Amino acid sequence: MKPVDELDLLQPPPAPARAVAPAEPVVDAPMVLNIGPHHPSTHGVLRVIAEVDGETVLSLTPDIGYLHTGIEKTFEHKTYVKGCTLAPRMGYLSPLHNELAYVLAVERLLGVDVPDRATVTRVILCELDRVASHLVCLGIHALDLGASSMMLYAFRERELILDLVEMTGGQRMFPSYFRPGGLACDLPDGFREAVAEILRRLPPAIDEYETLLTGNAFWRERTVGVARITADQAVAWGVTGPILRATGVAYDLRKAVPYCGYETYDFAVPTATAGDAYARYLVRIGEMREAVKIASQALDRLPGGPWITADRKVAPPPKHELYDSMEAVIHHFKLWTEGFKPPPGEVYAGVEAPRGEMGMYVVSDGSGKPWRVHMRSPSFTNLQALETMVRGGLIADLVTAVASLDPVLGEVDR
Amino acid sequence: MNPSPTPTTPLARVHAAAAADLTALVERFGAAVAAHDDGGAGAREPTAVVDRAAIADVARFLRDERGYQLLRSVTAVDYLRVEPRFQVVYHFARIPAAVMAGQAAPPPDDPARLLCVKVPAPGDDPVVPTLTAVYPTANWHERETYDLFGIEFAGHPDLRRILMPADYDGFPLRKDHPLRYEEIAFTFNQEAIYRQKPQAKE
Repeated sequence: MKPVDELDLLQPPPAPARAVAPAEPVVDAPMVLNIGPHHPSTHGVLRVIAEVDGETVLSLTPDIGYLHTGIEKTFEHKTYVKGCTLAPRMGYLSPLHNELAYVLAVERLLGVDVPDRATVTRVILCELDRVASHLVCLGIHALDLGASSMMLYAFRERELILDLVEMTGGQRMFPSYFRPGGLACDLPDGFREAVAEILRRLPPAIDEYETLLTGNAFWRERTVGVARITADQAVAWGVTGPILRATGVAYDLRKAVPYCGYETYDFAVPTATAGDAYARYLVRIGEMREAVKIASQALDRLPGGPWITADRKVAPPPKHELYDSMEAVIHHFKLWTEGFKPPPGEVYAGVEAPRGEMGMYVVSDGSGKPWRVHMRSPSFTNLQALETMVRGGLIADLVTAVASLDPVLGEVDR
Repeated sequence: MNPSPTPTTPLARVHAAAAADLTALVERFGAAVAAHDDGGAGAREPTAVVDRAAIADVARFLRDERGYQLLRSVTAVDYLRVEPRFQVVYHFARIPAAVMAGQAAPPPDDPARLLCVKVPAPGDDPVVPTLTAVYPTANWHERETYDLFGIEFAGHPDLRRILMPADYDGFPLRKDHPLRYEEIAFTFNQEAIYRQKPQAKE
């Protein structure tokens, strides 16, 4: 691997020959083109200032912050359990992974054990969350490039997954179903059947997406060789997730730093080597297939038993105990007024979210509210590599680059 | 602290693997390392507290000699009323060579490694050298830290606000910056309000 010092980060790798050569620039002075913040292809409120010469992008400056809500500040003023409702709101396309990262960090601060039923449920829901997120990416990506029918197919299956999420936590997008120590409530009746039905329908649906796109000449023309980045550049920019894996680096936290028992599941990490938009598409398709595999293994081993820790200092007592146990009433009162108080310390918990490493850095000062919560969001970090991908390319390929980066602007700006 | 003899969970093995790098770091930069925590045989992420003058050299050492190619995150914590008031927190990761070459599961003798480095910065002079020359990804992370904490990164090529509006006054993640507004003090409640200053609550 090349040392970072010797890398020219803004120099795209040599391009393969394209059928249509970009036009020779006629005017000398470059044009400054403002795209966004409300352009439909920017996937949220992203503003991009591009310097173009003819159709060629000379330089590019992303301008972010339009969706900044100060969510990290808000965390400091809420108890730990209330933070569970904040974490998913940051990245609205992969909410369960954000919840999971937060909950894991708090659990490690507390040193609390999570029952198997809760851990396995988390794996099932997170893998389906990954599929749902990739489906949005796929549908919107194709829509941006003019293939509008793809979105209808992708959202058809995503709807099934959102219905399942609604079954568990009561909300389609921000369920806040994972809580420190386990789950918010037990799984609903019919959960197993609903998951099995989704897992039965997904593989043929993924085949169907592939018939629409994988061999499609227009799709390939717009994505092959477009928005490329090398493995060294990606690592230097801190890029993780499918974008890094599309450059041949098989870095996946589920394998490298396993959490939630991922080391016990049998799955592969799809990679590609081209590092272009098409390679990212192939990696995401592969990841959806692997996610179905993991979720089916998890469903087979979904045990019964408790769904939240029995530690009354962390999890509230069940309702029936409140009628005849003074201690239960005290625990209930303390938990809902002050919340639990983790010992002073700090934890960084990273999970492999659909866009890359989602990290939560939580600092406790021993009180009922976190002293500091920092979110290392993959979208924010990955977006830095946008200029590398589009510099020297066509302005129309900027749309492909943004779509294949799959940023969630809520997660970028937090 | 009660160190367990052998790490049992995968996370503990990852944490324990980086302890050797921490030892090497302490050996190399002995005088500049104010404190370090080897993670108690994998219970926590190994952490070093490093003097700010040495952070660029420490980063270069980690990247070039210990193979930590990935800077996961840069952020800061404001410990109001404690000096040094700020701590800039860097999280590094080492991607094993086999994983860089495309193998999914890291070999048992070369697992992924995670390391945390913290740099204290005094409240009246919050300046820390930039890492953009060593880790290009630090660019936006440092801009964000500057934007929200007012910590300056000396030598940063483009230190502008990134999330807040350019004309915003103050640094919102500092503990003395109010969440919504400063509560107005009247005679009947000023004692209660002044008691929690300068940490602003609402």
